[in-house]
Amino acid sequence: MKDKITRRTFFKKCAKLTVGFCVFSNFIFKSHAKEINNPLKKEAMFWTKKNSSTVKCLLCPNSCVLQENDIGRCNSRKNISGKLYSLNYGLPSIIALDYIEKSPLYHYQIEGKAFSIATAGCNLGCRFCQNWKYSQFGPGEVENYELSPKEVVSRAKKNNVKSINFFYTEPTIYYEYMTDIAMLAKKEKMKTICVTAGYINKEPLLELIPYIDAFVIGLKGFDDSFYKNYIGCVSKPITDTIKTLKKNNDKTWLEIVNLIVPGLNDDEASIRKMAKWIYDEIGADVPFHFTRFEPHYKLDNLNPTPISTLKKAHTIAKNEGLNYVYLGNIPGITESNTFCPGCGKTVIERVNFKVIKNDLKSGVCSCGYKIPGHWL
Amino acid sequence: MKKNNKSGLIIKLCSSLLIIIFLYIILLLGAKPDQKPKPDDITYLKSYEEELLDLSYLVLKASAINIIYGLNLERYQVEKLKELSLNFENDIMPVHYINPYSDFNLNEIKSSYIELLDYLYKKKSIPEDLKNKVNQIRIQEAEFIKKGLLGVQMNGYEGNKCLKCHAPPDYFPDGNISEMKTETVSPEKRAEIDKAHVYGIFGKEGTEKLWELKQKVDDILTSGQKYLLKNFRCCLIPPDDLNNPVNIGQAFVSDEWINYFTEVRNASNKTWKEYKQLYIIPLKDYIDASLPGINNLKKKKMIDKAVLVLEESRRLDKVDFELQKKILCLKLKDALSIDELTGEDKREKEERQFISTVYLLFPGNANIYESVLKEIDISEK
Repeated sequence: MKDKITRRTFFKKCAKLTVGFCVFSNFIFKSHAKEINNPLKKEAMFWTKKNSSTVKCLLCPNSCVLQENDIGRCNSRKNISGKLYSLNYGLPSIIALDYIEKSPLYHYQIEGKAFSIATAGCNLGCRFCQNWKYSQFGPGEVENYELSPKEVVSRAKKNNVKSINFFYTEPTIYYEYMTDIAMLAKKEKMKTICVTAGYINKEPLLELIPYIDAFVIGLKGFDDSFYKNYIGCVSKPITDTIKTLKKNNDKTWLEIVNLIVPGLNDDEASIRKMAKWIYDEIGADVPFHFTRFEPHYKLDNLNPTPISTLKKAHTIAKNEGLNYVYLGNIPGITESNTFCPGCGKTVIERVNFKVIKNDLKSGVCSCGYKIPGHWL
Repeated sequence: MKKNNKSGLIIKLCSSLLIIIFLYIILLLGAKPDQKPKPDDITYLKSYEEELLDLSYLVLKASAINIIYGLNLERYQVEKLKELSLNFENDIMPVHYINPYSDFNLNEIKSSYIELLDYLYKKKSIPEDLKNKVNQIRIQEAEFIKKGLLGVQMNGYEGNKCLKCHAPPDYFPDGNISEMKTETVSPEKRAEIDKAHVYGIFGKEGTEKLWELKQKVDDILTSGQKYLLKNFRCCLIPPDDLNNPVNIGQAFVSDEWINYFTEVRNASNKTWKEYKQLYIIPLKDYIDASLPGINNLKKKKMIDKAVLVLEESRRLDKVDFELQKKILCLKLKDALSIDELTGEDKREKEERQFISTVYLLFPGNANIYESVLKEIDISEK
């Protein structure tokens, strides 16, 4: 004979069911919130099947293994019926017209401004991210525009811009969208720029290079504990990316940027180590930028980077032999100008990302020294 | 007969008495209690001049604080400017004392600016209600100044120093002055006005000293800072919260103006057609606050240009607006620019250096530099 269900047992079971339902539905809603009904749903590149329902993404070193309906760490790729899809293809969340110097990109001149574009998502989780409202969410959780690659290029032309800049969030995670736009842009003789953390596998990087005229890599630090604690990865894939781009210098231009966060990556030893590595591996002529941290996201309790810290970093990098070291986000200072290593003259003056004076003639100083870069 | 003569005399006497009493009453009523001093009364004119200087001082002081915080000065620059400021103050020019009371109904203007200065000194975020109050007050001040200018131009007042251009209230034109036109400022006139304004506060010796120091000050600044100063105009409310880096080159490209464009765009065609005049009120207020003396015709020209920009924004779809919004802000800024009317953008190099020196060595700046140094000390720890 079955035991009678007591009131206590009944309520216990109900409570368990309720809790279970809440957890389950939270999971479902959360994962669905990351995505959106995308009219341009696009099968991803760089993935492999592990079995009939499991896929492994090969785009970046996260190497997410995704079961059916799983979304990758980047919030941008999803396993749908055993295939990997890009969720943010054709759905930019940020569009703007910017001076290219804002990237920061100082040695690659373009005509006018660039069409900057970004989608939601990122394969990293930097705690100081300045665009976290887009980078740390999926396309279903932010407001988006709907622009196919063709429309992006057409809008760029309509607004009289001749360059497209994949900027603000992490372009790696909208790889397919970026490459399709870049291919069309090239047909229209537009320039393409990619501002990235560089956390990408080698194969996709090599395939991307022919379509991107200039890269700006965010080398966020040079200490693996900093990467582990504040970004959520290791530094080697990023330094490998930089080396790969250096090897392909004939095809694409490279600049490097480091955001100095007070108390986290601002110690002189680590900056010196980083500058030395750049000098040894990449060369004295790669433009290297330090930018100022503003309190954001999970580090809004910190103060902005002191100007004196930035200037110290600048001095360290110059002392390590780098010829073109810049400070950004600080109107009025001389360290945003370009000085000729030959004669010491100021050859380009900048204020607020705007070039206010350029004394170079096709990249050559009046003393005859050729400043490396792409000049109009 | 005798009786009749006597009555007639009494009547005459009474009538005379009544007339005298009547006249006396008339005179009594006619005489104003506490009669104002006559317009040429020296004390009165001096008091008026001092109040004009108070206004000038307050606006320049606010501008000086804003520009110092906006230039991202390095330690060595702050130290040098502080030294020059202190020497200038000690040798030539003590800190100006502002009389908070006014004989000319300027109390509210002065007290609002003094309240604003307190926030600027301490680098505190300015509350919205104070910003709104200051913007309204600026319009009142602008009207007061315009009346003074018109008093000279239209009513022929002749005076010295400040009163050469700013007639006292008794010479203010009556009625609505919005249609009345003040003279356009040529570049030559601009230089004269700049010097006169500086002379008023600093006197002959102070003005000459500032002119002497302009090259020294210029040598301290970077080319980027000089570029920022060249585009700087008198500024009560800084374009951004002083807690964040002040981006003084992008004052017009702000969330405020972008939100304004968004409101304009969101109006249906019918609403825009019927209520356009309401939508352009912020533009009128902006012009009124920017330029004392502008007349309705010039204002209308600027508004018409600005409306073209607003209508351009309405024709853009969501994507193009997002791409063009900063450019639209800059177009709006151009449409509302008063530079052509004030000649401020036509200053020669030496004039620009001189004006920069006025801002950077303004009385009381040593304290501002001291607080900047303290901030640098804290940040370097």
